Amino acid sequence: MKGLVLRAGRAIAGWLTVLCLIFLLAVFLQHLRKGSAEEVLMGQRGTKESLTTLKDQSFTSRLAELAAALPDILSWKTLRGTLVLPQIGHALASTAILSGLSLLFSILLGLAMLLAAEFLPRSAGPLASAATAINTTPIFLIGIFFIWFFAFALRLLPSGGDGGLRFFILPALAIAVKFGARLFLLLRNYMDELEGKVFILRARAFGLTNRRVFLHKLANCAMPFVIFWLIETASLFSGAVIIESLFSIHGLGQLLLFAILQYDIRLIFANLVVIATIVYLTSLLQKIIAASQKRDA
Amino acid sequence: MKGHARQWLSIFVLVAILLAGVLAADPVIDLSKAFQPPSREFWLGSTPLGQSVVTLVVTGAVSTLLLSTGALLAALAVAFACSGLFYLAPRPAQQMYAGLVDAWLAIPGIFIALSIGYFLPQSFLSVLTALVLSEFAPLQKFLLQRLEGIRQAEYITMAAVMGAPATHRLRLHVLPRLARETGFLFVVSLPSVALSLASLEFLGVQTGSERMSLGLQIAIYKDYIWLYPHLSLAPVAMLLITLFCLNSASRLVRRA
Repeated sequence: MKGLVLRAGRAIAGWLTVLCLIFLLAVFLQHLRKGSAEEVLMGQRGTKESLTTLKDQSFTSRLAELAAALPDILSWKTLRGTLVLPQIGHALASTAILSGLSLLFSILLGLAMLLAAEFLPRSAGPLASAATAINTTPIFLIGIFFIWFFAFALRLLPSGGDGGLRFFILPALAIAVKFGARLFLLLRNYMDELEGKVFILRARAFGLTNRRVFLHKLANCAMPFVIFWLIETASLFSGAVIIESLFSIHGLGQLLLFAILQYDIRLIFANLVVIATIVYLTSLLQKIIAASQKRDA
Repeated sequence: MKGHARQWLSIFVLVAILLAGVLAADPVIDLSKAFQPPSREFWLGSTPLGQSVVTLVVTGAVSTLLLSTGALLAALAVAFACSGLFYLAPRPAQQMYAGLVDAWLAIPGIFIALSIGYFLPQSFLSVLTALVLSEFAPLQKFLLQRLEGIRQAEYITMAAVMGAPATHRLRLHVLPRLARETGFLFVVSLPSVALSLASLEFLGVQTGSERMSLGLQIAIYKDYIWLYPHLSLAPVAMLLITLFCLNSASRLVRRA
């Protein structure tokens, strides 16, 4: 019980450290652009004197100002006067749909490649080379190619927007190609390692078919598969920010870019808190799973 | 050498790109020669400003390579120095620093880089700072893990038991081994840093230099795909060649 409390305490302390880092980053950003955000905020309404006062603010006073505003975070407004929370909620929903679809497509793609490599041994080499090449290719190039091919050349899917589930298919595929290739490479390596294990050798000695042996190996890949996705959450978000801006999806990445272009510190802060919390929780989950596996071993 | 022909070819291509980029003059703007098709004068045609596409992509590749190398070296230097201090620090300070690095890892690097890159004025130093801050945490995490392994090495434990002071162990045993790990890390991380840089440039973080980087060229010229495909595809091809060569070259070091 004591150990559990200690671990929970550490997890909360870790999360608070993440918040402190984001807080410092936000104040640092505000300090870099002295007055710029205020210029946008005040527009024609601000007086020259008040702008000068804002520009002359020190780092510590900005720090104190943002800290004082923290208790009211739920009612924060953007520089355009709209509430931050609903915007974050809407963007999170779009990013969640994009991430969910990407996850689904990449699993399908990764498994399809794995099946092909297993049952068509001649294709294993070229598939591995193709997966390595895809893994090296920047995600925005894959996105551009997909827009050009599927939206403009074949006219199969819309090239941008987030009007319905159909609009998410192409961007999700662009992310999934990269992660599916990465998943294939990981599981293929793991399966090769399993090939020398006693239970697989015994299964082969008992005359089990290749299909049955493959299913046994696949079942053993469940844990590396889960850990892979937990580790890759941050990369998934990084991919999402690029893909969202390319396909004009109003997700968290696009919202962050918008906030940065407007120098809207509060929106940047809230956005980063949501993203970092999700990534932190997944990394925490991954550590718990890894620790329990270590104990079992 | 034998069996690594592809890797050596990659290194040769990288060196050739670097030499060509350094020796090439800045692409000249000549509006009277805008949108020229591929010819003997313009091997891959010309841009809307009449610049040679070949010169532009080669200088862009060099800019991407130099910037990512500089950023990686700077991030590794800071991480290496911090690892040395970490070794000498008392246990609670070590735990706090490790926790800080873990917390930093929770913020995806591209988000930090975008924020810093957009807020600082357009310059080489701004992009370098953005990249260093975004790449620092994973590099530091790797070095701290390696440091833990080195700390537990038998001969270092023995040196500690025999009463060698921590600074002596650090200077003579830990840092030389950590330096090798850092060198290895440099080679294996360079492709991913170049990839991050290209993504950042694509999203609009710029150095403001006359020599446009590849990510920026792709962002600008992607809309010309139907009318002038050579213009759109040249920076894409050059970026892919650069990344594949970097990856292939790093594989050689990994095997070694």
